[in-house]
Amino acid sequence: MIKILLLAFMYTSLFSQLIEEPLLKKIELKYGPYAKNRFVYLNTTMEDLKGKSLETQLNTVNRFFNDVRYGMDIKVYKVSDYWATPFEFLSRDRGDCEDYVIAKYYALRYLGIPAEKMYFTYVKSTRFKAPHMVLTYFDSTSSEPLVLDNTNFKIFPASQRPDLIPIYNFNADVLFKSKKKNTQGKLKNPKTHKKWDDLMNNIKREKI
Amino acid sequence: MTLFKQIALLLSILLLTILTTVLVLNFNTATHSVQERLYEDAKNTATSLSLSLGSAKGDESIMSTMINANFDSGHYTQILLVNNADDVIYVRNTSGTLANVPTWFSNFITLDIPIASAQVSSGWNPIGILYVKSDNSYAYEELYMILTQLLISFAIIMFISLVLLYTMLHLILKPLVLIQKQAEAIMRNEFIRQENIPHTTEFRDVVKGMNQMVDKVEDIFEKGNSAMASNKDLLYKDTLTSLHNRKYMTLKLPQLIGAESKYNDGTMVFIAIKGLIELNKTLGHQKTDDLLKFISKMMLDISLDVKDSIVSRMNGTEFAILFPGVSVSSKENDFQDFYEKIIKIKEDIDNADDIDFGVDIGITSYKKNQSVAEILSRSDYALSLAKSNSKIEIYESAESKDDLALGKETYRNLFENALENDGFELAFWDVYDNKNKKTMSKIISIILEDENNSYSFGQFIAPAIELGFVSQIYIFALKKLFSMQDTLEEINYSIRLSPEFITDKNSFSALQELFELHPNNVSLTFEFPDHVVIDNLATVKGLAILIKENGYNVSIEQFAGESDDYNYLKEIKPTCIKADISYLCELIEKSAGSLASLQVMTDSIGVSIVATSVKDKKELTSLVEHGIEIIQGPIVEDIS
Repeated sequence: MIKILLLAFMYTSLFSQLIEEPLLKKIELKYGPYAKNRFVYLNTTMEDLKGKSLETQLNTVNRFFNDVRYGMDIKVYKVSDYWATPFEFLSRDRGDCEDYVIAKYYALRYLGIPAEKMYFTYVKSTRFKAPHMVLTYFDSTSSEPLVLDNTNFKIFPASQRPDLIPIYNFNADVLFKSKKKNTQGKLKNPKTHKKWDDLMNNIKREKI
Repeated sequence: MTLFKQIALLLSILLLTILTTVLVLNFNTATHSVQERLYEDAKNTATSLSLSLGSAKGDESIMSTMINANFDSGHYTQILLVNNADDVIYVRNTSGTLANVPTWFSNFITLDIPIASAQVSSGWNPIGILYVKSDNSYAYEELYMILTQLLISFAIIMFISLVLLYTMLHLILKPLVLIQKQAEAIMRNEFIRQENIPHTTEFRDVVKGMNQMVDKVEDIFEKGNSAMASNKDLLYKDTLTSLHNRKYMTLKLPQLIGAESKYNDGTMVFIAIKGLIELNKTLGHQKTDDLLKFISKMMLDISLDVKDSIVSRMNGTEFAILFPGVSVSSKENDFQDFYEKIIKIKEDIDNADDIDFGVDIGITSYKKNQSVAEILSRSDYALSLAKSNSKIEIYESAESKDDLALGKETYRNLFENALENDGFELAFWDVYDNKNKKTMSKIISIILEDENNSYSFGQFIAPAIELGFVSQIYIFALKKLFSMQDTLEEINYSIRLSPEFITDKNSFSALQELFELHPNNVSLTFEFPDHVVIDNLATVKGLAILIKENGYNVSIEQFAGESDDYNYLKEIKPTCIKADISYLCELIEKSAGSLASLQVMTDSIGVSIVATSVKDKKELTSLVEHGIEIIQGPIVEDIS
């Protein structure tokens, strides 16, 4: 049984891509060839990262998405706060801090990094004197996290980011798994976090 | 089940289904909404409390205190804090009480109270997860209130909808009730038009169709009716003088002088005109015919003041005038005048001196119990005397039958004894259905029996009428029939009502009382003589309604086609009409169309024709050839 699952995983990894061809066509149709090329490049980058070290994967993904230009939700999406799908984020080539975190989380999950090791961390940026969000990577829950920040191209341990004050950690996958366990499998309401739930629905329907 | 009930039931079920579905959907939506709100409340608590817990920097006692403060201030079933390994750090539980909700409701409605969760961090590191579950008692109370309001609202909507539905259905299907009544009337051979044409297309077409059918049947009846009226003239009138003919006199004599006649005596006048052949040769046919018409008119004038009098031309030269209830003396002078006027007429005719033109008049009186043959014979005798003496001859009845054969008191005693000691017996005669070769019904005849003798209906009816026993005898006979119901055959019985009984004012109430006492368990038809129906239509109609209301039938007997309008058949609605074979044969002999006219008329209203007094197979064959298959009379015993 384990052999079969392993073979299935290898097959999926070998032949599937982060962004599949039909979605690529839709993106090209809506945003043009440049947008499509960004996703092709993302696919290539992701394929290259497969089997690479964790450090390489974190750095490359962080750097890749940090190349996207910052844009406030009110300007990009005409709403005060919006969690964009990675497809929207890269297609428009613009987004705010949550969008960087989401895209990075999505790509790193694709590369096989476990969900429970990554958190959406609400922080206060003392440099900008504003609320901010970063993706934190925990080797274990008690270890010092690495901070993937769109305002800083380099990844630093949390202790080297005095400009950020942690407020709140959030990981929907962890919440969901724990909740399922604590309700003895009788979980009828899978909701965990409003923004996250909306985001998952949008990713599911490949909103671009 | 009526169409109204079917549609009403169907629409009621549909309405109930729709309302129930809407109610269930509404309640489900409300349940979902309540659950959502519970989740949102719990989620808000979980998020805000988790942020507060973050400030405790992992100090479990502070975190427990924070949880207690929140738990105690809000409506929660559980607040649970677990660490990253899912080990419980702190938990608070309570079981809500459902004080304002019936147990059946909480058992019936399963509320899935959602659990909200949030991560708890200390600095950069997550230290656990917080779970918050809201209290469901509040939700149950709210849902119970919603359900109660929904049920009340839907009950009101259902009631109003059903009232509207039934009202609308009643209005829409109202024409159908009239259509049904018309259809039922048609099935009973009552052809009524519906004047209120419904607006609904389908109903309108049906009503128009039925009205057309009714009109056609009405036309058919009217054609038969007119033809029958014409037949009457052909059958019973002398074409030249327009007086009645011998057949009519023969037909009416038994009615007017028979045992059941309302007249106890009367005068019969036979008149013979002599010298007509010679006058024909001298004056010519036209003038002779005119003279004959003139003399006929004179005879009619003499009879005008006498009710039920009949003037008939018996043959080419002989006439008969019947004066029921009139004595010879009261008409003697009239005929003396008539005699003298004829002599005067002769004097006025040119070239008639050599012609023996004149009239011979034989007048005879009669009493009720004399037979028709006897009266005719005596009248003939009076005329022959007049002819031999060339004068008015009055031949008074030598053997007066004024008194009854046995004497009034004897008959009175007979009737009283019979009524007291069950002296009246019922005899039955078959009416035969030749087509189906079976007895169709039985005619009841009442017989009076004492120790030594047996008296037929014809023998005792006259004294019964005179002594006023007719009604009692009929009621007695009917009671006897009803008491015999267990021994009677499963067949229709018919009893002929005498004119005396029909015209008796007390008969209606007597019958009414009888029917109330004896529920209808016998198939019985009451037969009314045709001439009595024609003369007493209102009375007969009243009796017919009473009889039919009590489940019995009505028929007409002694039908002889003597009416000018047969619409009374539609009013009485008899099951059959009985006509003497001689009348039917007369119609057959006259022309094929004469009988056909009668049949067309009776068929159009669903009345069958029964031939009475059928004596031999020749007559039967003739009847069968003309479509009359139901018979009664002497032949029935031979063939049944």
